[in-house]
Amino acid sequence: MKLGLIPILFLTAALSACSSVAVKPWQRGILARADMQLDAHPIQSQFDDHIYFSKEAASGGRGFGGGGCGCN
Amino acid sequence: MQLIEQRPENRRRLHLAMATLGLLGLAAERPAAADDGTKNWTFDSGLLYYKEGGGRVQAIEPVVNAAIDLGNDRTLTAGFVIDSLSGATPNGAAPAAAPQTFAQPSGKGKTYTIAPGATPLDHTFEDTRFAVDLGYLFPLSSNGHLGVGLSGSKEYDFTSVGANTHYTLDLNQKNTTLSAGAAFEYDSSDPVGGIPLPLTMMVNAVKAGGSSKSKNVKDILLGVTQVLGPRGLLQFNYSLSLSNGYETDPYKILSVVDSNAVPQYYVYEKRPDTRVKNALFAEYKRFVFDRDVVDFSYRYFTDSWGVRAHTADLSYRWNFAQRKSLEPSVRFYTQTAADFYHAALFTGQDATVDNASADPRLGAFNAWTGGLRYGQVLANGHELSVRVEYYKQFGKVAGVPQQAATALSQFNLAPDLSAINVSFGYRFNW
Amino acid sequence: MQILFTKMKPHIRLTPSTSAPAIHTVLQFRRTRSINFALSLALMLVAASAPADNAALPAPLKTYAGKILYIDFWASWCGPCAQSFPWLNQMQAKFGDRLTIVAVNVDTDTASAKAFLSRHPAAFDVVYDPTGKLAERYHIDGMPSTVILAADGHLLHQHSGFYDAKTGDYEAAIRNALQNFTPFTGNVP
Repeated sequence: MKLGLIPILFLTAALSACSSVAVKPWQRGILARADMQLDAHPIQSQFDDHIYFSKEAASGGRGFGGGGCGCN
Repeated sequence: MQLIEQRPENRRRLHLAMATLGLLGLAAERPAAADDGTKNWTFDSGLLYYKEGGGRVQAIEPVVNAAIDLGNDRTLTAGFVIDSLSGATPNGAAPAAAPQTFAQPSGKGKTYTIAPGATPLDHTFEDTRFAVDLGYLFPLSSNGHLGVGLSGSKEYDFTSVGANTHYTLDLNQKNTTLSAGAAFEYDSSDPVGGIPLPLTMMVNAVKAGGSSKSKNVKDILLGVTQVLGPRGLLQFNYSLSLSNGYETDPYKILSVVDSNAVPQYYVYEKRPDTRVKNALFAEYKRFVFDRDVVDFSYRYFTDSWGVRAHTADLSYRWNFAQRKSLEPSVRFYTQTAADFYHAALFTGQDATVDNASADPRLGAFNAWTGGLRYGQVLANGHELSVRVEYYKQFGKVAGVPQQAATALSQFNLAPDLSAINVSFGYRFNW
Repeated sequence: MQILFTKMKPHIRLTPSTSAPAIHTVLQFRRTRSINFALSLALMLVAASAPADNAALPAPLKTYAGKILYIDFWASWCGPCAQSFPWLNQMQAKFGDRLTIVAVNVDTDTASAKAFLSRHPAAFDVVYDPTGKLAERYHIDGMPSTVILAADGHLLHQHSGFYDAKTGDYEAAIRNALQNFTPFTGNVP
């Protein structure tokens, strides 16, 4: 399968270069919220992963890291 | 702007790579807040109750995940799962005009009989699984974090052990985060009654292929997360999974039918001994109306068995009160059948096909899920949640042998599946 | 985490940007406190008129002029900030006579900040910067952030993040600032 990863990386690099998308460290109050995390309900995601893995052929994709308060 | 009392995120949340790399649901995440610096433990517990329609699978699954903040950005995580299943599951045979009798997989002579026209279901399916996972996360260089973990699970006919690692790197004042993960898993299958010789006739469930088989799975995940302004977040991931070894389901069979759709005999299924899976995933989260959160994700999946699937997921978290939320969600899923998926085989086909399986999981279908989640933060800071979901698969007929197509069309070869699940969650710091 | 350390000679100098004239103060003569204050004010006014100078104290901090200033940038949504407050209270107790600790809050909603303060009391002053002007001025690189300024507003030290293991380093930075940059109070040593 042809990887779409390289164009995605370029797109993200381009996005990050735009100063309008980057936030300053003190502007992360909303990103720090629990409901703004990429996996806001870890237990439920775990249940979902298990159910769908048992009933469907597809799996994988979800990742980790990024967002959040950016502290430390 | 509504004041939502925000719990400070002591550290970033991270999964263990296990769940994110598609290996059977073991996830633990970092503490959400050690509010006053003295509560270093975070417990996240849950209970799932799952029930399919038509007397099929029922499951109950308690889960506990614990995370301990060791200070200086280091975290220890541990998770435990007990998964108890029972109920009927399709054995792969096709419906027939006359009653069908099958031997139970134990090979001890017990049988079960299926009514005419009904999808053959094996009611002897009962299983309890225990799973454990451990993880350790620590900073590596000024903007990186490394996690390592171990996992294991055991049920009466299946054992799995694995190791995983993942690394995240923050760039651009943490506006961009790169992540990479890898996992290895070794699975051993020791089915009741032994391993059947593939594509051979099932006779009283006597199996001659040995007592156990194994496979190994290697997973890789690459991702990038980008902050899009103070209210938005975007993530892209690519995951690759390489599986080698015994991929076949030792309990599943196929009907070998004549041109009148009358089953002549049954054969055990056979799947290729390698499977390469690819998935491309994107997720967008946005804070809207100064109060709510929208979350949309899409995944494209393809594998070396010919399955192609699209998944789209949308949820809207309505924070209607300071400590309460209601979150409706909808998910759409569609998959094409695997190359070697057959609803049934025509006489003689069992000698010519390389692989064949009638497992509905490898068939073609669309599926919709609708869910509603209620969450509340209690006065003591503990978080309670309950979610109800309804899942329905709409089967699409595929893999019908041409010579028996007309006769088989009188039966429902791709039945729908519906299931409800209720899950409870309780999270607290200690 | 960044630690910027501006090395300066032990005598206090006002050294605005190179385009403005350098003003040197001579320390070895007796001055009364009021003359000292007037002179500092005059010097600050001159310094304030110099272009793009980071040695001048911005408006919300002007009341703290004249002492070594320890500025801690924090927010209610920042976990490590909750851990840093007890330590800041300790530093206030230890060095409060010579050091002024000011906690600058960057929450866009000050009500959240007040809720945080009710759970983590502060023995030091809190200044509210909801628009982030102070944070921008000192080029804050992470949360939480610490900036130590000399009495005249010069940047002496800066770091971001709060780690239990590094509190020794943080305290050493305070001691270093106090030792080398405490403003002359008018008594001949």
